Amino acid sequence: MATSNFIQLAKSMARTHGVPELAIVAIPHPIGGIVEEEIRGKARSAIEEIVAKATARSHSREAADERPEASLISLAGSANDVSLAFYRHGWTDGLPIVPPTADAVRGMLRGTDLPAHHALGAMPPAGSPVTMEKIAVNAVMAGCRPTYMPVLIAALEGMLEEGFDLTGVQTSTGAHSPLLIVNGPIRQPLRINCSSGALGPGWQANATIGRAIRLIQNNVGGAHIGTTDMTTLGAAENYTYCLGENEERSPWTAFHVDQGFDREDSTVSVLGAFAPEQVSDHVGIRPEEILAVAASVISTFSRFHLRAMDHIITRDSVLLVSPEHAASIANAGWSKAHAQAFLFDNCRLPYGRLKQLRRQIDPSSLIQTAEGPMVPMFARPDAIKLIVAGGPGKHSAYVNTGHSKKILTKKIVLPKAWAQLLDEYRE
Amino acid sequence: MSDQQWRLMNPVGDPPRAVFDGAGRPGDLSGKTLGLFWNGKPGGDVLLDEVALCLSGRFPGLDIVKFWEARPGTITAYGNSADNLRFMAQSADLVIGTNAD
Repeated sequence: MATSNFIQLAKSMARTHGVPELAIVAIPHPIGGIVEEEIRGKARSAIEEIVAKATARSHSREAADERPEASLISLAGSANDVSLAFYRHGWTDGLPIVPPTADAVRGMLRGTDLPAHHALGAMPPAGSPVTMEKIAVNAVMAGCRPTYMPVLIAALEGMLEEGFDLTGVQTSTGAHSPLLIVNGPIRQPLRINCSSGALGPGWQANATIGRAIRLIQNNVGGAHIGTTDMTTLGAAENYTYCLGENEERSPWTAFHVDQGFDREDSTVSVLGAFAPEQVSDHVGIRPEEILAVAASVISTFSRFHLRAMDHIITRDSVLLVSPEHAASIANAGWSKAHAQAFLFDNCRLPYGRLKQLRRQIDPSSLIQTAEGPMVPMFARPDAIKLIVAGGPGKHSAYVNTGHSKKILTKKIVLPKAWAQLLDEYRE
Repeated sequence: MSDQQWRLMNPVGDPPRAVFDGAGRPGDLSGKTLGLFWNGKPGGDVLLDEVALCLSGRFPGLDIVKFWEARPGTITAYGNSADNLRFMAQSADLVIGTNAD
C-alpha cells in the first residue's frame, strides 16, 4: 500500500526490481500527521481492493519507462537550441548545459583509464548502470573539465555503497543531496575551493563537479522530482554540494587521514546530507563556549521528525568548523576527539518534551540528568565528524545526514596520462 | 539563427529489462498466514492494524503476523537485511506492507 502521491515512485521501484506486476493499492495521501480514525477510515475504504489484489494476479503489465533508444541524438540549431531540447526532455537541472558532442565526451573520458562501458554499479531508483560513458556525458553537460573525472568516479563509488543509502537520498521527501568533501593534493591543481565561500558560487570545480553528480542522479538514476524524487521542498544544495577541506588552515589532522588514508592521497568523502545549518559565534573564546553553540544548533526537535528515530543517532554527520573556530578550540589544547566528546555530552534533548510531541524513544537510550531524562543526539562521539572548511570569519556549519549511515571516503585514482591532462586543462 | 547539425551523446541511462514472474496469489485468504510489514513511517502501523481487523473476521483460519511486533528489527524505511526479508518470506503466505507518508 502506498499513498496516492507516491504511486509513481512505488511503480518505478517495482519495475526496477523486475516485478512490474507487484500489486499496489493507492491509499489517499497522507497517512502521517492525521488522526488515527482518519487513517483507519482510509484502510476500510481500500479493503475490497486489497482483498482483490491479494487473492488474484493482475495480468496488466505497466508500460516500460519511456526512454530514448538511441545512444546518439541528432539535432539542428544553435547551442541554445540544444540546451532547450535537453531541458524539454527533463535531462537538465533547469540551467543551460554544454552540448555533449561525441568529441567532448571522448575528451572527458581521458580523465580515466577505465573503458567507456565499465560500470561502477546500478543507480537507483531506475537501476541503470553507471558507466564511464554516462558519467562523461553528464560531466560535459555540467561544464566539467576532464581533470574532474577522477573525482566524479570516486564520489560515485562511495555513493553506490550500501552505507550511503542512495535509494533513500534519491527518493525521499527530505531535501537530501550528496555532499562531496575533497581532501589531498588534488585540491590545488583542480582549484577546489576550501576557503572563503567554499560552499558558494564562483569556482568551476566546486560548481560543476556537484552539478554533474546531480545530472547523473537525474539521468542515470532516474530521480525525477515530483514522481520518483519525492523531495518536499528541495534545497539549493540539490544543484551542487562540493567543497574541499581547508587542510592548510586546520590545526588538526586532515579528515582523509582520520579515515585511514595517507596525507599525500587525494580522496573524496561523500555523505547523503541535508543543507548546512549555520553555527555562528563571534563572541565565544573558549572551546566550551563555541562548541555549546554548535551543540545548540545540532540539538533540535527536527532531528526526530518521525515517531521512532532512535536509529538516526547511530549515523555520521559533519561539523564544518571554520578555521578561526578551529584555532580557538585547538589553541586551548583540545584535540578533535576532545571536541567530539564535548559535543557528544552536550547534544541532548529533554525526553519529556519529545514524548509530548508524540515521538517514541527507546527508554534504554535515555541519559539521566539533574534536569530529568535526556535523549542523546549521537550514539558515539566519533559520529560527529569535524572537518575544517571556509575562510576568515566565525561561521561554522552543521551538516546532518540525510539517509546515509556513514560518511564514505574513496581514494581518487588518476589516469596514467594525468600530468599531460593537467597541463592541458589546468586553470 | 544557427542551423548547425549536432550529433550528441544521450545522457540517459539504460535501465535493466529483466522481469520476474510475480509471486502466486493464494486465491482465498482462509487458512493462510498474512504478514504485515510496517516501515516505520507514521500512520502505517495504524493502517495495517485496521487492515488486520477488517480481514481477521472475514476469512476463517486467517493468521496475521504483524512483523513490527514479531520482529521489531524489520521496522525500517532504509532497506531490510537479507535475514529479515527471509524471515518475512518464510513466516507468511502473503505480505502486505506500507510505504510513504
